Amino acid sequence: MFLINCPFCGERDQSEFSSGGEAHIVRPKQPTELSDDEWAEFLFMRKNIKGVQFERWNHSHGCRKWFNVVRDTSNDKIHSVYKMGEKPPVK
Amino acid sequence: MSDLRVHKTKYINETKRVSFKYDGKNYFGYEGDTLASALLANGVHLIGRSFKYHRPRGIMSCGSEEPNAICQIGDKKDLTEPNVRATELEIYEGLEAFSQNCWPNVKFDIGGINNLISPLIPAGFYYKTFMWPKSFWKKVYEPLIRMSAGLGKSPTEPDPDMYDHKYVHYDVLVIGGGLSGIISAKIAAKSNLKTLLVDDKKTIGGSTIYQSNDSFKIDDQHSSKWLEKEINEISKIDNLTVKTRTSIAAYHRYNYLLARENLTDHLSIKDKKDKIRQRLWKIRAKKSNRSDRRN
Amino acid sequence: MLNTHYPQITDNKLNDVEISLQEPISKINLRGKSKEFFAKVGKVLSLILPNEANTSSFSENFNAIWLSPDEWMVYFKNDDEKVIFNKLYSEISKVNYGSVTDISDQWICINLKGSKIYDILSAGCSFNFDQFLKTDGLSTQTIVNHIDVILHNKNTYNINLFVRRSFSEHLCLWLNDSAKFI
Ligand SMILES: [Zn+2]
Repeated sequence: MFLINCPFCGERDQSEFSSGGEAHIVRPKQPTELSDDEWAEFLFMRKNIKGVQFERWNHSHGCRKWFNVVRDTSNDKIHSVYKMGEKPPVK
Repeated sequence: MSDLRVHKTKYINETKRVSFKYDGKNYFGYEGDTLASALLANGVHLIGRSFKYHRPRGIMSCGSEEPNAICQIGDKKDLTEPNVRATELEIYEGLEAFSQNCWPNVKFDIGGINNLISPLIPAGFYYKTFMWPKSFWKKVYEPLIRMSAGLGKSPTEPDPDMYDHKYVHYDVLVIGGGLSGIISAKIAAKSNLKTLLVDDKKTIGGSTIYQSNDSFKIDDQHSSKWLEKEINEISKIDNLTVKTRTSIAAYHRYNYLLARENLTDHLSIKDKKDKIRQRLWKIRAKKSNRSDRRN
Repeated sequence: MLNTHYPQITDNKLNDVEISLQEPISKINLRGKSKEFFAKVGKVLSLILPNEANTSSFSENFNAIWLSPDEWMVYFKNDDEKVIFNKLYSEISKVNYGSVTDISDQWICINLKGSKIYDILSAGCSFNFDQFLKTDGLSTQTIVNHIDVILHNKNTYNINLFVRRSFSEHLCLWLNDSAKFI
């Protein structure tokens, strides 16, 4: 159980949050023009790497806001937290 | 009673007799005794058998590091507890303990036969020998192996006791209440940090607290005297909490630690009633410091 | 069918913990960001909505709890609940400055009083109450015994706990149970 510093409420236990998977996946502008493979790529394919990963998290049992987290999946170290719409920090 | 006991120590209350049973025989010790110390005072040395060859074993240490004096507590189907170290268990009125890993009893042990023929048993004997004939497995080998293998019996009925848990947050967690643990907790607390000091024994002080002769001195006093003063001092610090009979069981990320506090295991059966038996502390520390030199 | 009955909560005082049901209390959820929204709320309730996270504000009759950067809960004891709600509704919701929702029946308010209340909550809540209990007026949303709650620190060792109606009975049983073993 790690701690997440919600950009709105402050530091809380992980149990108050739910994970929204990888961040910064852009929805294709014209889904109808995509092939099935391209659409599946957008819908299902995630990097799921070991190391520093950009993720979306939702403070579902607190302020219920979405935000982004840069987390190292190998040791759960959180490098930074930033709001939706903000520029991701450069590695 | 044999004169094996060291009298007039601070930690044993010799005015309060506590009777208990070991392997069906009645003994008594005093309040403050562990099962190990009470048994030694009663002249009981043979307390277990080694795992494989069932060689006789006695008490070897005085804490959680004990490899031999492992016993089964109680014989009720719901409350019996295996693998309790006699060196950690405080005796209480009505305690019933049994030796483990020996059959039919600790003094005459059938498994000990393995010891006599051990030069004849090659490595891996157990695994190779009991393979054939195939039909023997279910009826002969398995029950035999099951009887001689494993340590102790687990309870077969649901646990009737009550348990509790609690989240706590501290700036500093100090694990181990020995000399260095006490001093580091004191320094942390005095620097205005909310501090928790935990120790698995019933009193803090570690081994230093028993060092009251001229070969152990701090500041020209007996080590124990010096440490008692420190313990007395830290008991007055507001933002320092001391938890005894508490052992850390897990250390997770972000300094999240789990500790088990024993609340009633040392009380007599009558006093245990309707009380929480153990409490799981879910500790979130800003910093944790391990002062346990044993590991 | 929607169950709008209050939970069967027996008021309890155990080990210096008082648990009591505070119903009926009116609760209104407010959402909005615009300047007009804040102005209208201020006018109707004569109260400034708290801007800072995990805080609350109050006026003579109303308490407002911060829930999120654009969301608040106002609670009050008043016989004219409908009047106040309608006023807010027509001044804000109707003209699209924000949204006003009556949540009086959705949340149940329970008062906890006594020196051991944080010990009880900590049995099922990972929230660090160190700051919370020292400062009157702080609020927080968290989980107690796996149940979503809103906590409002009224003053020293006196808090209002809001819980969804359908969970309230279970939570109260749990609180009473935990109070036995503090
Ligand atoms: Zn939040």
